[in-house]
Amino acid sequence: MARIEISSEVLADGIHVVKPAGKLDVFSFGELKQFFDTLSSATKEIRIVVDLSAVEYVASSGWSVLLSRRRILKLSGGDLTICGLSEEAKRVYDSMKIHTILPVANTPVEAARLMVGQGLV
Amino acid sequence: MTGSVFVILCAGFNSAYVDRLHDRVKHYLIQCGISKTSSYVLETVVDELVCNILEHSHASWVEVEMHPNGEHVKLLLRDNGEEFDPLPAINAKGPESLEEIQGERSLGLYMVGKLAASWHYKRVDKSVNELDFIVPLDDEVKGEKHGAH
Repeated sequence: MARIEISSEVLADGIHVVKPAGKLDVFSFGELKQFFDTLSSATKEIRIVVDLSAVEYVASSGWSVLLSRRRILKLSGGDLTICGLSEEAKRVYDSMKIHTILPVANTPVEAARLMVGQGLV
Repeated sequence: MTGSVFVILCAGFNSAYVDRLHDRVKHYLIQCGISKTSSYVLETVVDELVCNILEHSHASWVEVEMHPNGEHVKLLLRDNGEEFDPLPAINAKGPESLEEIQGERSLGLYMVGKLAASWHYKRVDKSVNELDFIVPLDDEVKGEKHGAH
């Protein structure tokens, strides 16, 4: 079985929901980065929600790839938010104090609403 | 509770070592009655430090020792890799804006500093790196944190 498997779907308003499943760590973050690269190659102003509900572990390399992708997308008019953190992963997220630079919500729909132009931020 | 020691004999940096360590640490912490959240935090700290050692220090062995005491877990790591003092990176200020994100691999030691309450480093006999951490259980980390040699 692969360390991480990544699927995606597009919401009605054009927002991509990317759903990795497995471990997001130093051995697998490159696959998520590649997935983002492929998605972004079609359009620069892409908006992505990353649903982490099927991710059992997020290492610093996983957090870093999410943060750096949000930075890249914001520069080109896109955005990225996350949702579905387990209670344990949320504890680590809260400790890192990155909530202002990587917004989190409970569900993909709520995470989509967090994006600039969607009404809340 | 008694402590536990895990030793990794390394022949390169691969996921099998790391996964086996995760499993053994998790199993041990469950046996100690430590909560799922605290266990996840401890696994994260161990994972970040051990991956750093395996990837960069050319160590042929890493030893991880855990001593739970009810309020925290004392974590000791020793390795025979190249001398590396991680304290500046652990004590570093974290990113406050997206502009400060420098790439995909810059958060590990910062994250460890946010999850642990205190930490120390020393080089022993010019051949072994020795790190110790206090990682609080369950409650948020409180008070002033500090790292030292």
